[in-house]
Order: sequence, then C-alpha cells, then structure tokens
Amino acid sequence: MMSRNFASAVYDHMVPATAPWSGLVKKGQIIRIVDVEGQQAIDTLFYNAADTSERYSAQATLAAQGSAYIGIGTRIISSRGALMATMLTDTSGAHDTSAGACSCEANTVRFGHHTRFMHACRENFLVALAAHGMGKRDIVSNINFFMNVPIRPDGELAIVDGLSRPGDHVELRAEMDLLCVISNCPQVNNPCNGFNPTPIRVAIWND
Amino acid sequence: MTPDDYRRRYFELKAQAKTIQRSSARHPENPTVITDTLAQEIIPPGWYWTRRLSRGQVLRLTNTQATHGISLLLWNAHDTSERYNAGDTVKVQWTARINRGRLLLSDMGRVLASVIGDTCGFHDAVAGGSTRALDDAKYGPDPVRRNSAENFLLAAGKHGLDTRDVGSCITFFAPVVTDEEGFFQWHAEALVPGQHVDLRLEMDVIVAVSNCPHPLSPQTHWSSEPVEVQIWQAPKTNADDFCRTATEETVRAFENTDAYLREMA
Repeated sequence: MMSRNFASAVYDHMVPATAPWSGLVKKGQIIRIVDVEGQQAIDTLFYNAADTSERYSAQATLAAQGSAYIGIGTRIISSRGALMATMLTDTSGAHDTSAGACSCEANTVRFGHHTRFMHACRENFLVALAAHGMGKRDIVSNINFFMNVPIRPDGELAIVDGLSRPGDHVELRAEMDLLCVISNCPQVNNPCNGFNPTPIRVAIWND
Repeated sequence: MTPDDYRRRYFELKAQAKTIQRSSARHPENPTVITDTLAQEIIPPGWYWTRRLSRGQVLRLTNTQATHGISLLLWNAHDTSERYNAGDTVKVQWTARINRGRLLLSDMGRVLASVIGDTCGFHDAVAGGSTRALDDAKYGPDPVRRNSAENFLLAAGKHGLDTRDVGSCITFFAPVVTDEEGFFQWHAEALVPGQHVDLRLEMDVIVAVSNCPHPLSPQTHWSSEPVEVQIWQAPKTNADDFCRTATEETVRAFENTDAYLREMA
C-alpha cells in the first residue's frame, strides 16, 4: 500500500494540545492519527456508530491476540465480539490499552489532592461524548496510542517515556461505521506526554 | 511547576512504589477464622451470582476445585455510574498483580473493595473474562455455552442496568503473567484447589460474579467447576489497617472514600 497523501484525505484536522475530538469513520475508511511533535499520548475510544452501546473492548482485544499491547495487525474487538477496526500502520510501537484514561479523581489518588483541578482525559471524553448524547457510562477502557506502559512479568506496570518521534503515526481501517472519540491527553504529572502536551493531527481517507 | 519538576516528582513516586512492593510480603496473615458468616452459596459451573453487599462485609470466593478463573464486577449500589475501573486499579497501584493488600478502585478515585485475604496471589486485571466470540474461536461454536460477558449482562440486568454499565472486569484465579515480549503466559502452578480471596467492601456495592473459564486458560475443552461464595462480617477496621495504609496512594484513595461516605451519611 502506497503512503497516503494528506492532499487526498477526505478529512484532515489538527487537534490542539489538551483538547477533545470526535468524528465518524465509515466502514472501509482509513483513519490516521499523527503524533505531530512526539511523545504525546492519544486516548482513543471506538463505538459502533449505528448503536453506540456496542463499544471497544480492551480486554476482548487483548485476550483475542494473546498479548498486552496494541500494534500492527491488532484486531480491535467490540464488546459484542465484532471486529471494529484493524491496525494497518504503526511507525512507533508501544501503544497501551490497560492503563486507562486520566481523570481528576484518579489524579488526586496518584499525585495528591492538589491535582484535582487539572484538566484530564475523562473531562475531554465527557464533553466529546455529550455531543453524541452519551455520558460517563459510555467511558470504557480505552486505547492510549503512543503511551508506553510496559507490564513486567512481576506485574509492575508504569507509564514510562514514550517512544514516538515527531510525525510518528498509526493507521486503522474501520471494519464497521465507527464513532471515534479522542482525548489529546493533557496529563503533565507523568511522562505520557513528555510532561508537555502537544497538538495531534487526525486524517481520514476513503481507502 | 516546570516539566522537570513534574518529571522528578513522578520518578520519586515510581521509586517509592517499588520499595513498597518489595515490603508487601511483610503483611500480617489475614484473619482466616470466620466467626460471623452471613450467607454461603455455591455458584454452579458457567453461572453467575449477583447481590448487594454492605460496606464492612467481606466476600470470600473459594476456588474449591481450582477452576480456571472467577470474573467479577462491582458497582456503587447508590450510584451505579460509579463502577470498578480496571485502568485506575492497576495504574494507581503501579501493578497489574492485584493481590493481598491491594484495592479495587472505582472510576471516581475511591475504594470499592480491599483484598484483605488471598491464598493464591495470581489474578488477571488485564485480559478480562470470557466472551461468546472468544469461546467459539477456542472451543468451537456452541449456542448455549455460557460466558462471562453475557453473565455480566444478565447480572447487570437484574438490577435494572444494561450493556452500557458493563465495563472491564477482574478475574480472580486466572494466573496470567505478561512476559518480557508482552505475550500472556498462563502460570498453571499458581492454582491449587481450595484457595480463596477475601474482598472487604469499602462502600455499599452491587457485585456480579461469573464462574466461567478465563479466555487464556490452556484447557482445550470448556470446563468449569463449582465455586463457593461466602459473606462474612469483617472485624472493625483499625486506623492502621494494612489495606488502608499500604501506600501513599492507598491513603489518598481512602481519604476520598471516607469523605464521600460522610457526604452520604
């Protein structure tokens, strides 16, 4: 497959640092998510656009592939066992789906009560989901593109420095009509964004 | 604070978590003598069990015949939009190995349950429970075989909840280890008949338990054994309780929980 040019994209959008995004990706379309400046976690959720009660299942996806990280060839599986998307391209490696999204509430536990009033991914998710008539119950374990969270044989799990360089990207092919919801992660209390959140780019192609 | 300040603080917290993990072996033995059993039931192979439990009660799951996994979900009984959060549970505690002394956290930065007893030590908080699609792929199609995803829908349904209320679960007695390459390995030696876990509820909850084999179980034919659930009254929790004081994060999670319980009182 030839590299896709932005000029032929049907959609091309810069998501500012710390901001939410949502959009429709139709069956057969390709979505590219670009880490424009590098080391930027991109918290991502997928829903069946025709019935959003069917959504991404991190656990079913991992159990089906028998391994702990998202990468080339990963089949994104729904809560009803259906194939939602296939990951085609990954120029970086190390994408997490076990550590979830940051929240004001979890931040207080992890980093101290003084972090309660710092912007967080679940704030972004709630705002983006509300535009589609959805709410907190629809927030499930998400994918964290470009977030490096090794799980060690002794169980240790920690967010460490991201591997992505400026311009690194992933591409996924939608296998059903998808609602894609993104939080361009605002977290500065851990290394997921290099302690400095930056913009990302989302583009969609018809093939 | 500058990015460097944030970096320094994060890696201090990480180093501290490692020290605490090493010292966790010093936790005192849990009270194994149950003096106050409130209920006892058997969950048949493939079935689910659900009920409301009150703060201060302990749910004991006994894996009498070393079945391959018992999956569990928790909701706050007074506001079911607050539920078990797998990501926060592993991330906040710096480990996917949820065992004795660890907490099951909600999405609201609060404690749903404390693991006060655990004679197995190997549970899965990452790869989930069984689904129809996973079981069909593994064992061949069977339209009536039970699975955890549908068991959780049924359990949720009995409380007026639905598919949107069912998120990621934790599976006890599923000894899944992530190897250096990121592949899941089943640590079979970790399962011995008669092992149990004790979950002390730290708020009023709805619990759902599914007795179906874990998707990564090495078994080639679907099989499941009965498991025993027992509800008992925890002794009064002291201020120095090891589950409440194990780590800085633990202390803050209980500060959040205690503040919420005061609000609700």
